[in-house]
Amino acid sequence: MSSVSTRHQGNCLEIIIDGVFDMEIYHDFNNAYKNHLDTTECFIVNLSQTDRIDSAALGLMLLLRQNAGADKSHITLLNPNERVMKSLKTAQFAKLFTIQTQD
Amino acid sequence: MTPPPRFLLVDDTPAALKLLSLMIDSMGWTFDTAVDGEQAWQKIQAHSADYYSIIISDWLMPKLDGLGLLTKLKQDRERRHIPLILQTALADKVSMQQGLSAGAFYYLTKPLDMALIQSVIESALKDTQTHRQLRQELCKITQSFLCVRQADFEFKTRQQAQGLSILLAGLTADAEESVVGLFELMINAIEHGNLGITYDEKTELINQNRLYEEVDARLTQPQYANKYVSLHVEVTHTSVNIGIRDMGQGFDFEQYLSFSLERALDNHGRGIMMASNAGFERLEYRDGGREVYCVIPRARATC
Repeated sequence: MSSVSTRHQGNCLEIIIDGVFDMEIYHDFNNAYKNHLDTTECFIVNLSQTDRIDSAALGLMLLLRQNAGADKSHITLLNPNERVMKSLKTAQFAKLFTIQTQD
Repeated sequence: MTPPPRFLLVDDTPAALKLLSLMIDSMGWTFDTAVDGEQAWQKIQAHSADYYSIIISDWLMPKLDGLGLLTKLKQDRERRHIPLILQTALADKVSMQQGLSAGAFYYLTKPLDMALIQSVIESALKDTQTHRQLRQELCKITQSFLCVRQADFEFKTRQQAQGLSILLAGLTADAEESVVGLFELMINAIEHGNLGITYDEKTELINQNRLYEEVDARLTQPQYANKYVSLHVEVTHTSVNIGIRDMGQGFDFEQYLSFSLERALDNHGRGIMMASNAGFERLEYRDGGREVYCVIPRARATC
C-alpha cells in the first residue's frame, strides 16, 4: 500500500512517496501540500522510496508545479530510481522540474 | 516449516543493548546485536530478506542512526516489510511523528516497559507471519499462472485493470516495467474507449478531482453499462502477445505515441507514450484506435 508523508527541510516542504505513485494517492498527495502553498518557498518530491510511477503521477506532479507557481527551480524531484527516471525522461520532465540524484 | 523468529537488536550504549538482549532472551527469542546502524545494515544485507523477523533499534547512534537505518530498510524492496521498532529517549511529539512517518512499526520511549515491548513484539510477529503467508499464497497463484498459453479476459473497471495488468506483467521479462505500460493501455480503453471521456473532459475532471467519481458514474449509466474491454493473451516461447479491444469510437492515436510539446503541461495524456516506452517489442493501434496490440519479451519459462 502506498503512502504519502511530509517533512520540512528549511523553507522547503518535502513530500515523500512510498510505494507506487499513481492516482490512488491523489487526495493524499494534494492534501500534503495544499495548505503550504502560501508559506513554502520550494517543494521536494522525494521519490527515493517510490517503486514506480504512472502517467497519472506525472499529472499530479504537474498540478503541484502549476499550483506552486510554475517555476522549475521551486520543485525538485529527488532520487528517482532507474525505472522512475526513465518515465520522467520519457515525459521530458527535466525541462519542467529540477531532478536531483544522489550517489 | 517456518523458522523461529530472529531479532536484530541495535543500540550504541552497551548497557542498553545488554538490557534489551536480556529482555528478548527472557521471552525465548533468538537474536543478533549491532552497535550502530551501519553495523546493523551490514548484518541485514548479509542475510536473506526473511532472516530477521523484527528489528529493534535505538535512534541516536553514531555512523548511521535509527532513522537512517529505517530509511535504508524502506528503500530495500525485499526487506522493507521487516518491522522496525524504534526505541529511544526522544519522547517529544515531533520525533515520534518523524519516526512513524518514516515507517517505524512502533515507537517506544526509554526506559522500556517490559509488558509493552512484549505486546508490540507479538503484534509485529503476527503481522510478519500474515505477510509471509500472503506472499507464499500469492507466489503459488502467480507461479501457476505462468503456465498459461492463451487466455481471454473481459474487464470494465480500473480495479480490474490494475489486477489484470499485474497478473499479465508477471509473464513478462521485466514485470515492473511492463505493468505500467499494460495498465496505461487498459485505462485508456476504459476511460476514453468505452466510457467516452474526451481528452478535455479528463483534463477538467482531474483539475476538479472528480475523475474517479465520473468513471464510476458512467459505468452505471445505461449507454455504458454493457460495455467491456476484451483482452486476449498468447504466450509463445519468447514473447507475451496481448490484444486489448474496447467498444468505443476509436481515436487519433498517432499524436499520443510520442512526446508533444503542446501537451507538455497537460495534467494527463502521457499514458500511451509511457506504454510505448515500457520495454515492449511492438505496440500498434488498429481499427481506428479501438484495438491495441503489443508484444512483450517473455519471462524465462518456468513451465
